[in-house]
Amino acid sequence: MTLPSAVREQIIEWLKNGEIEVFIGWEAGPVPLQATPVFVRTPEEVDRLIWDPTCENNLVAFLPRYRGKKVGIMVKGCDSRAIIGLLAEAQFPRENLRIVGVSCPGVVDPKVVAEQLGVPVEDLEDASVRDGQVLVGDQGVPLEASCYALCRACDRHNPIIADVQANEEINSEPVDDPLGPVREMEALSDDECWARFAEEVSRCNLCFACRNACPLCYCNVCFVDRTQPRWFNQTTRLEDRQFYQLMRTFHLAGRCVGCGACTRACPQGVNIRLFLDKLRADVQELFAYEAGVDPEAKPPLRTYRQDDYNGFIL
Amino acid sequence: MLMLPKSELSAFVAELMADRRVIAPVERDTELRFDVVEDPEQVNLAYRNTGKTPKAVFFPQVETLIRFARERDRFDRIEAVPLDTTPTVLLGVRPCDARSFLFLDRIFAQGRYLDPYYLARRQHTMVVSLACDHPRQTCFCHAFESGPYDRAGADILMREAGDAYLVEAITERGAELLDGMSLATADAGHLARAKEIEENAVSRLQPMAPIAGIESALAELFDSGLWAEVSEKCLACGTCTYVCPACHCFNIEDKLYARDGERVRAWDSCMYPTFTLHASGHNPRPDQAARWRQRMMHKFEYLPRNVDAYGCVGCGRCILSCPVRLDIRQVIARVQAEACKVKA
Repeated sequence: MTLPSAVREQIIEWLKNGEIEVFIGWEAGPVPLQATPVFVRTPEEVDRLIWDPTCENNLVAFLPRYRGKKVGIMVKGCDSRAIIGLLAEAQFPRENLRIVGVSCPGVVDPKVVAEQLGVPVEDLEDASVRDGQVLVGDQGVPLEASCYALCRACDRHNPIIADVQANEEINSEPVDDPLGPVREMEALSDDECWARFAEEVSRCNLCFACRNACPLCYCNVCFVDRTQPRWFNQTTRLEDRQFYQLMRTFHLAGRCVGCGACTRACPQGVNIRLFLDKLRADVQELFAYEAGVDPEAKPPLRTYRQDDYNGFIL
Repeated sequence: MLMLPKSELSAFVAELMADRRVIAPVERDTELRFDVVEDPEQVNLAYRNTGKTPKAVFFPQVETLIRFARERDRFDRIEAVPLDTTPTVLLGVRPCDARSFLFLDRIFAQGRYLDPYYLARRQHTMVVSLACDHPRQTCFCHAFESGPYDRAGADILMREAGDAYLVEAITERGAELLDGMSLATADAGHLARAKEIEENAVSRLQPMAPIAGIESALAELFDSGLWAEVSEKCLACGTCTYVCPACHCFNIEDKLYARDGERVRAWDSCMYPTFTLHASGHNPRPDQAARWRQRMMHKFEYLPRNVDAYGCVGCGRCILSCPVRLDIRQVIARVQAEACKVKA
């Protein structure tokens, strides 16, 4: 679906008056039910931009590459938190950003649609989204039954930072408990928990799509890419997969905004967000901080308070 | 032409398993992939293509080349890892993947450098292809003068014929294998059904310009701004190279443990920042634009020049598995269009 004309005109104006050099949005892609990122630099290209529940990618992951440039970007509710995450960590100046926000009912997971219809995902070749339904041949699946599991637990449908809002706000409660899977894991014994973690990461291919799709993974050189010395063995042994996922998870403690881009990008279907959600819950509980909500709030790793939790020291 | 009723597939697999290892599409860890068959019932040939490529059968993602251990004060005991010469049947490979083996042979099994690890597996493995009766939207094998019923790379070719498969020996060793098995001769009805299915399969392919000649187009585009443009949305995750049946770049590292160690070969990817990173810290491919240029140049310019074959078979896996849906067919079309502009 193309953007409303008022939004298109606003983007064209930003491009024309030099407020932005490039606008990062979505356009229809080569595979049904999955839009693809697009980088618009001229007013003529603005018509390519779309918004619908196939716009899955968190485009904020591209932002750190455009440091020093003036950028326009489209964000869903969850994506907008990543912008706040970058602002809080002083990674991108707000004045160089123009943000179009869209309220998102949840994005379509083709695997879930295929499961609902009992067909392989590659058979969804004529699928489309219309009127709150995913249409495949003469069958339809309601949107709320087609989206990613993490979207069903979403409590942030609306962008919390935007210059322009492109559609109406959505006020619906999460269908699933956002912390349900975390509480399930917490109920396990240490050994069971470790086994559960091992089982989940045993599918990891070590392709690092999760890191690259993550808007907060912006280290210039990631620890797995260090070669002098080499810290990380890129083999298929379980301990190497565990090492990578543990290190990445902990490096995102107090920083992960919970957008779920990592989990959606994983070609192996590893539920990466499960580990990150646990840390987000811990940070919230111990430091009363939630990343990606308030750009003025000081991240726990950047501050010291007398009453900080220090139970682990003694 | 022989025929195997689908109801007898398990018995056929069981017969193969009697004195060979059989590798075929099986359901493992919630995905369908090529793996060693433990029970003939596990084999699933009702699939369009696997997410991962069967190239790992010959060229595993990670393999130990040698082991070494410390006996006195240094790593003074070195052991070669035995070559894998288990007689194997690789069953149910799609023709695009079977063609990729012929391509990989040019890298690992021909010319000046022969890879004993690859060769051992390759020489002891019989390839049974399964013609592709239902190409995907993202398939473009036909751009390579090939097609869903290509027999290249197969020792035996199986074809969908309704309630049976037609079975045809392509090579001598394929014929020898079939000689020992009791398959019926195909009847006219099944031959006609197979032909119908084949015509339907071919008609499903999306129109696409032939690849041939792209190497001369690419030769003009080394310094083109095109690379920055096409790579702009790339996340650099390398998934495309991991699922590619033709990508074959690897890295060799010595892993040192307390008392022993191993020399390990693992798949590398031109999409990674560590690809061709020199010990000095310099990298001749410093950004994603340069890496995408390498990906395209390697597949469509250097390889045709060096080994007389493209490093792509048109399976479309890279398009389907890309987290941002970067479509190599569009990049190919851009290259072809750009080259026309340069010439004009």
